[in-house]
Amino acid sequence: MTNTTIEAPMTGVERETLAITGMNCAACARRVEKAVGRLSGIREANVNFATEKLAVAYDSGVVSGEAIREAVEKAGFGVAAKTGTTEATLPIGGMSCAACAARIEKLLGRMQGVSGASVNFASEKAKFSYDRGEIRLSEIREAIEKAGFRVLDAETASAADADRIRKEAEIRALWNRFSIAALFALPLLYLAMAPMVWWLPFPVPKYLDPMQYPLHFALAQIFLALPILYVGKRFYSVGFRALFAGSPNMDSLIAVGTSAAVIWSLYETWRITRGDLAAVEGLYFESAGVIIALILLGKSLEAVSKGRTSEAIKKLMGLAPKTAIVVRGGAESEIPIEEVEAGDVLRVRPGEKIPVDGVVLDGSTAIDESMLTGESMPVDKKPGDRIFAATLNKYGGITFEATKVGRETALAQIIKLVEDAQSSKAPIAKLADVVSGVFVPIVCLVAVGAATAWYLHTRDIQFALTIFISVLIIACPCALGLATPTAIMVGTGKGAENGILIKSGEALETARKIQVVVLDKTGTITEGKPAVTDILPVSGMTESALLAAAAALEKGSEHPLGEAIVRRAEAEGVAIEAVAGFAAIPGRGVEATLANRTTLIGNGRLMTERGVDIVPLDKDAERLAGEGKTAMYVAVDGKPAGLIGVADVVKKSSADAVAAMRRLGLEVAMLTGDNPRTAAAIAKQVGIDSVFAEVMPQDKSGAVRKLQQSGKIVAMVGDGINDAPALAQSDVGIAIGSGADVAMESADIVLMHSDLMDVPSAVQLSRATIGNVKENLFWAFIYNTMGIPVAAGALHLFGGPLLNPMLAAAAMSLSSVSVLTNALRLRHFRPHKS
Amino acid sequence: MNKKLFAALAIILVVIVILAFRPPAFARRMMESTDLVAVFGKRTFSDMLTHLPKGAVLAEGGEWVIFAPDGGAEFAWAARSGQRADHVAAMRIPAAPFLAAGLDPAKLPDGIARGQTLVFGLKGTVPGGARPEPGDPATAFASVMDAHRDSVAYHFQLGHYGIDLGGGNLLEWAADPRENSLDLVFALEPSILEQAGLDKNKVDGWIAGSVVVHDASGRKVEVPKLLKPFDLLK
Repeated sequence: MTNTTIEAPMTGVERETLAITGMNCAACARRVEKAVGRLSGIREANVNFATEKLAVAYDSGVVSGEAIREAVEKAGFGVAAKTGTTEATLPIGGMSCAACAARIEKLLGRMQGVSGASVNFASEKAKFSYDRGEIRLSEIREAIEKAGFRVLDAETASAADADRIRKEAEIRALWNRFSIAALFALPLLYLAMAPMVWWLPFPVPKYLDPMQYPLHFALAQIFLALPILYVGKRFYSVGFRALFAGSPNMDSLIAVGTSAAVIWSLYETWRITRGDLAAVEGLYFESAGVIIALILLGKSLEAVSKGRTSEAIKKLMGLAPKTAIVVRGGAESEIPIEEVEAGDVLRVRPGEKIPVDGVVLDGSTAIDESMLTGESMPVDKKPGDRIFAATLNKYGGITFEATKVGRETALAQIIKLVEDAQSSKAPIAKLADVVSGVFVPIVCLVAVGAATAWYLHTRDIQFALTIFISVLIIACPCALGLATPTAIMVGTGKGAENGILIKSGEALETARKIQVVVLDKTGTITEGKPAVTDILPVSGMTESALLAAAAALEKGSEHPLGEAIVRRAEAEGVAIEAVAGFAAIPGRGVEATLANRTTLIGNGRLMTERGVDIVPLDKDAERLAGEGKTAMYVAVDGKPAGLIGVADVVKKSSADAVAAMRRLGLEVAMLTGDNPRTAAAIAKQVGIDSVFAEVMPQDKSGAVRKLQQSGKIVAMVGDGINDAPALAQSDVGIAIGSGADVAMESADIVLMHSDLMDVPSAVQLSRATIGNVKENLFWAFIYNTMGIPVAAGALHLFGGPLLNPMLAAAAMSLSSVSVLTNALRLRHFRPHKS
Repeated sequence: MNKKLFAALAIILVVIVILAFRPPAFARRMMESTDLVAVFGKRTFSDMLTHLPKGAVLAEGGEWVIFAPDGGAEFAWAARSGQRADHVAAMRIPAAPFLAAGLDPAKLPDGIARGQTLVFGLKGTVPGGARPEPGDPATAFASVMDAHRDSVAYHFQLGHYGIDLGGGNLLEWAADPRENSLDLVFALEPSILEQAGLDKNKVDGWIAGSVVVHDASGRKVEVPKLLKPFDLLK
C-alpha cells in the first residue's frame, strides 16, 4: 500500500492523509482514530476503513507528523511509506526587504526535500512543497529561525482574525519602537545640531556645551543614542547575521552604516578623554540615532501601508459570520463557526448570513448570492438545494445540513485563490529579485570604494566616513523589493472586490498583453440556457412524437441544447421513454435505440456521416440558422424525422462587453460548435467579426493554438468542461464563474459575476496594475540610482552639496513610503464600463 | 511596549534635561573629573610654565607672574585662596607702544590705564579658606580656574586653552606645544582701544589680526584681535 493523498494546508495547520496498514475491521479504524485523537494538537482524525486512510488535521506547532506515526504504530498498526509532497505556507516575521525574502528562498531551495520555494516579502509568507519522507516541517521552521527570522504561529481556521491581530501587533510594536527612538532622537539631534544652528530658540545646557564640556557632550549623546540603538537592535542582529552568512540585506546596510558611525564616535570620545578636545567635532551618534529612528518611522508607515494592500482579502474573510446556530437533539445552540462540522444541522433565520456551505433540509427562502455570483436577484431555495457560506438569507427561516466547512467552503476557496495569487510572483518581479539580490553586495563595494577614494583625495577620515555611511543608508533596496508584490496584492485584491479572481501574478501580468479574446459562445456570450423555439417534423411525424424522440435521447445528456429539449418535453407533459445503447458523439450529437429503432439527434455532420439524407430539411435548417438558432436534426432508422430549433439568448451585457474590448484595442473572436450561419447570426448580434464555427470541443484548443502561432497573445473565455483544454492552451484562460469547476481549475482568471463585461475590466485592471508596478520600479530605481552617486559625493566633486547620512535615511524611508503610496492608488481603480 | 514604560522613559528624559540645565552640587562635583577643559587646561598651563625662560615668579603682592619672552607683557594670578585683590588674574602691558600708536588713556574705561601700564584683569577672588602659603604656581592657577571656570575655554581653531579676562582679552596657551607654533598668546580686544584713539596697526610688538572663535551662542565668528604670540620651544 502506498500513501497517496496529501492535501495542501492553507497555512501553518497541516492536513495529511496517511495510508494505514494492518487494519482488519471498523473497530481497528476507530482504535487508530482514538490513538491519534488523544495527541494534543490534533484537530481532526478520521479513518476510512474502506480506503484504509487516516485523514488528520493537526497543529504542526504542537504535534509533529512523526508523533502521529508513532501513535499509530504504538496502537499496533503501520503507516505506509510516504512518497508524496506537501505544500505548506508559513507566515514569516522579521523580513525587512526583498533580499531577506530571497535569502529564505535560497535557504529553502538548498534544503533536501524542499522544492518550489517562493517567499513573498509583501505578504510575509513562505510557500513551498516538501517531501515529508525526507524532511519535517519543524526542521524547516528551525532552519528559517536559525537564519534570523521568525516563523509565526500556525494560523487557525479564524485565520483572518489571527492575521489581523498579528499584523496589528506588529504595527503597534513598530510604532512603539519608533516612538521610543523619536523620543531620544529629537533631543539627540537638537543637542548635536544646536552648536551649529545658533538661531535655535532653546539653549543647550551649559554643562553640555561641546566647547566647554566636550566629554559631557559626548557622554550625553551616548546616553541618548543607547535606547535608540536598543530599539533598533533587530537591524544589527539580522543584518550582521546575514552579512556573515554571505548574503547581506537591507538590515546589513543599516547595521554596517550606523555601526560605523557609532564606532567612529566612540573612538572620537576616547580621543576626547585623551585630551584631544577637537575630536568633539567628529561625533556621529546623532546620525546613527536619527537614521534608526527614521528607518523605524519608514518601517511603521510601510507596515500600515502593507496592511492596506491586503484589505480586499480581509473584506472577503470578513464576509463569513463568526457563529452558527446548531440544532442538536432538538435544541438550538450558538457555537463558533470553527466548531461547525460537516453533517451538523444548522438553522438560519431571515436576515442572517449562511455560516457554511450545505444543503437545505427544511424550509424555503430566497438567498442573496451576489457575493458569489454577482446576481443581484435573490435565488429561491427549497429542500435539496445547495447554499453557500456568507450568502444572505433574505426571507424565510431554513434548516440545512453542513456539507463543507472551514477551508472547504466556496468562500474559503475564493480566499485561497486570491491568497495564492497574492503569494505568487509575476515575471516582472523577477527583475526586482535579481536586482535586489546583487544590489546590496554591490552597494557595499561602492560605499567602500567611494569612501577610500575620498579619503585618498582629502585625507579626511571624517569626510570619508560620511560618504561611507550615506551610501550604505540611501542604497537600502526595500523600495525595490516592495515595488512589485504590493501592486500585485492591491491589484488582485481589487480584482476580487470586483468579482475578478486572478489566480496568479503571471496571469495578471499577461492579461495586459492580450491581443485577441476568443469567446466561447454558449454560456459565455449567451445565457447558456437555450430554449426550444421550433419543432418541425417531416410529414407523417407529429410535433409531439418528434419532441418525445428527441427528449428521450437527450434525457441523459448534459448538453445545454439537450437540456432545453428535455425541459420543453417536460413542460408539455410529453412522456419520455427510456433508451438503450446511449452514445454521446462529441461535437456531433447523440445516438441511442428507442423502441428498437436507431435514433439520432445532432448536427448536419452527424447525419451526413450516418448517411441520413437531410436535403429535405435544408431549407428549414438554413432559415433557423439565419435566425441564429441551432437546428438539431432528428433521424430514425436512417431517415430524417424532423428538425428542432433551439436558440440561446444572448446575455444583455455581451454586446457592450465586445464593444468595450474593441475600445481597448482587442480583437474579439467567437468559438462555437454551431454551424457558420447560426454562429454568424449570434456574432452579428454582439458585434463580433471573427467567428470559428463548427469547432468540436477537442478542436477548441487547436483554434486557440492557431491564433497563438500567428504571434498573438490569446485569451480564451469559456465556462464549460469542454472549454478546459482551450482555457489551458490560451495565454490567459478566463472562466465564467457560473461554469464548471473544471473550467475554473483550468483558468487563470475566474469571473465570479458571470458577466462578460468583466473581461475588459480584467484587462484594464491588469494594465493598471502592471503600469503601477512599472511606476513603482521606476521610483525605486530612481531613488537608488540617483541617490547613490549623490551620497558618494558626485555632486560635491563639482562644488555641489554633500548628502548628510540623516537625509539619506530620510530619503530611503521616503522611497518605500512613496512606492507603497503609489501601489495603494490602485485601490481607487474603477473599470471603465462604457 | 506598554504605555507605562513609554511614560517612564519620557519622565526620565525630562529629568535628565532639567538636571542638565541645573545640576545639583553633588552632580557638579561628579562632573569635575569629566570636565576635560578644566583638567587639561590646568595640566597644559603647568606644562607651559616649564617652557618659559623665567618660569613663574612669586611677586611681592602675593601673586604669581609670568613674563612674555620679549618683555612686552606679563600675566599675574592670585597665589593664595581667599586673597583680596583687584583682580584674581590679570594681563599687564606696558602702555608705551599703545600711546605711540595714538591711544589716549583718558578715553579708556576706568581701571585699564594705570600709569605706564595697561591692565586687563578678571575681577573676583579665589574662594575657600585663606591659604597663607603660596604653594606652587600651577596649583594656584588651578584654583583660579576652578573659581572662574566659565572664563576658561578651549579654542578649537588654534588648539589653545585660554582664560578670558573680560571684554575679550585673553591669555591662551597651547594644548600641545610640540604640535603648535603659538605656545603662548596675549590677545587683546582692540575695539575699546580703538575708541580711545589707537591705530591697531601701529602698535609696536603686537600683531593686528583676526581669529575664529565660538561666540556665546556657539556660533563660529571671526573677531579682530591684537596679538602677541610666542613659540616657546624655539
